[in-house]
Amino acid sequence: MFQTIKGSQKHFKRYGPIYLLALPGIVLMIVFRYLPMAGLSLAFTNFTAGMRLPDVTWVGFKWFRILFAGDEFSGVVMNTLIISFAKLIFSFPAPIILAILLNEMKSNKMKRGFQTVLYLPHFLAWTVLAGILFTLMSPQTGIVGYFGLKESVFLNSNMFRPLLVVSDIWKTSGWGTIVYLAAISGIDPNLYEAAMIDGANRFQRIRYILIPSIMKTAVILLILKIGHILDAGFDQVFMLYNPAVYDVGDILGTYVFRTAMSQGRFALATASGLFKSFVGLTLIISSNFLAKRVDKDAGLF
Amino acid sequence: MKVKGLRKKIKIFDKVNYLFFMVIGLVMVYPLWHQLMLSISDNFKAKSGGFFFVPRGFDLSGYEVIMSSRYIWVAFRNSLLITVVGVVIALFVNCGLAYMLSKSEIKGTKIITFLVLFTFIFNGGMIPTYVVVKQVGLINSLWALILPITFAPYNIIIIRSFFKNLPISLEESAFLDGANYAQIYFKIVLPLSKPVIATIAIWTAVNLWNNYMNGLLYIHEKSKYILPLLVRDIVIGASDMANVEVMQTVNADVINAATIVIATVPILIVYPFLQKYFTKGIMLGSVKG
Repeated sequence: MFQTIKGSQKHFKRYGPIYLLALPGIVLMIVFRYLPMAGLSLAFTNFTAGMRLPDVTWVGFKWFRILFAGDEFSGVVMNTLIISFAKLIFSFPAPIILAILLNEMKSNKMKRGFQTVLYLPHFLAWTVLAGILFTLMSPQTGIVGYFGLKESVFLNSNMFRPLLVVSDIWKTSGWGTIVYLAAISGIDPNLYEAAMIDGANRFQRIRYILIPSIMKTAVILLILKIGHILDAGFDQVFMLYNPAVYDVGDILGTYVFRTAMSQGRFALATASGLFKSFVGLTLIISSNFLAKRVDKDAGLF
Repeated sequence: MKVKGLRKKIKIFDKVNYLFFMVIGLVMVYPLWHQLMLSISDNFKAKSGGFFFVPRGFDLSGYEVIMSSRYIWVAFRNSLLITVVGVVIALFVNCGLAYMLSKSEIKGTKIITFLVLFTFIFNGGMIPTYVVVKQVGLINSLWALILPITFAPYNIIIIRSFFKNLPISLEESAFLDGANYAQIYFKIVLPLSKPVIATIAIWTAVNLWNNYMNGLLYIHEKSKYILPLLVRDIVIGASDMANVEVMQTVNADVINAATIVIATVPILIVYPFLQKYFTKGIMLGSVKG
């Protein structure tokens, strides 16, 4: 007993400064990450905007019953899933393809030049991008008149989801190449040499060395994406949508925001947020499990 | 014969590849070019639609309207302030925590690593976070735009794996020479970690400069506005910055374009210089706990 106290005193004397350095991060983590997790319990209360926390009472699963019984919520979940899956199918492979093609470029100067251009959209906020899209897609100031469109595409329900997917690819695919380029640069050059001696041509080297080497990275990113399947991109949708396209564009994030901020229904909004977080957690654990079944080394944790 | 055909195929592949990236490059740049040309075009000629390759007429009245508004300067200053202060705090906080997590012999490292990683896969979501920020008293404070996003698990993990790869013998010998771990951290570990620190600084800066959602949730006073909020107000026409008289003489689209150009230019100037840091030290494989 005495010895363990003495031991931990020695331990703290030695490592004390490290604990102090870590403390601010731990405090911020508890306040802004773990307190909100505790705050999820508000989903089971009657909490509304302007209410003081001591006055809150428990209502059980009331809000979940209301959510799952209504058409609005299931419509919102469907929208979220459709938009997310469309982004997963079209946006996810884009950086992989771009990274492979960039890597095949022989001139380093050209490669760097194209990279600079590809990264560009990542550095713009969605508010700025939305402003650009509005003018670009307007019949008066934009290019759509060129293609014979007379009215704004932002009011057209059929065009809204493709617009989300295309603008998402435009903004994120260039920046997404970074992790894959990093993974490619980590490939052992001996592998290439051996393959070349064995007579593998360029396409075979891509097929049998490059692609398998970046698969692990791709799988980790895919698991993270699947975990966020119910986040279809709040900033983007919030900036681009309007009441005319709510039926195809309203996603969980924007729904939660409106129920809470304009209607003051905090508990209901928290309940739909909790649903989202819970589904995300379940998906991430199960996709990780599946990835590990396929390849023991794959997976996030 | 077969080899010759293949070589030809590879040469064609190279050409097609360059062509492909030229097209992609144009697609990436053109929307911004369009905006820039629109912003300096004549008000009436700007409305005829189609592609802008050169300005139509020349008129800077859009910029005059924006520059004469007090709010753009307030928003600009606030954005700059939260970005600079936020980056400094974020680096201090994330590097400090990462340093502890890089030392597996320290008590509590395992549990804290787990807690950090857990925030990756589960979070409280928008409303409970809003309630916490409100309870802490940060509504309408610029701190609300900094503190909630300062703790960044992804960055912590990246910094940690960089720290782990530093030669341990340097620290050991400094410790035997009587230095304590704070001195070792500031004088040895941080200076050796410049590449990863620069990378994380850039990521954090972009995140702070462009963060719109936190502004939307936590900031309601115009004196605390940041650029993304102002841009949105102007873009959706909810702004009172361009008064009605001016709006009649200056095309609203031209004002939009000018605002967007002003909000974009700072980051466009900075980022090509920082590009060399983007890929350094970043391996996603190291994200694995």
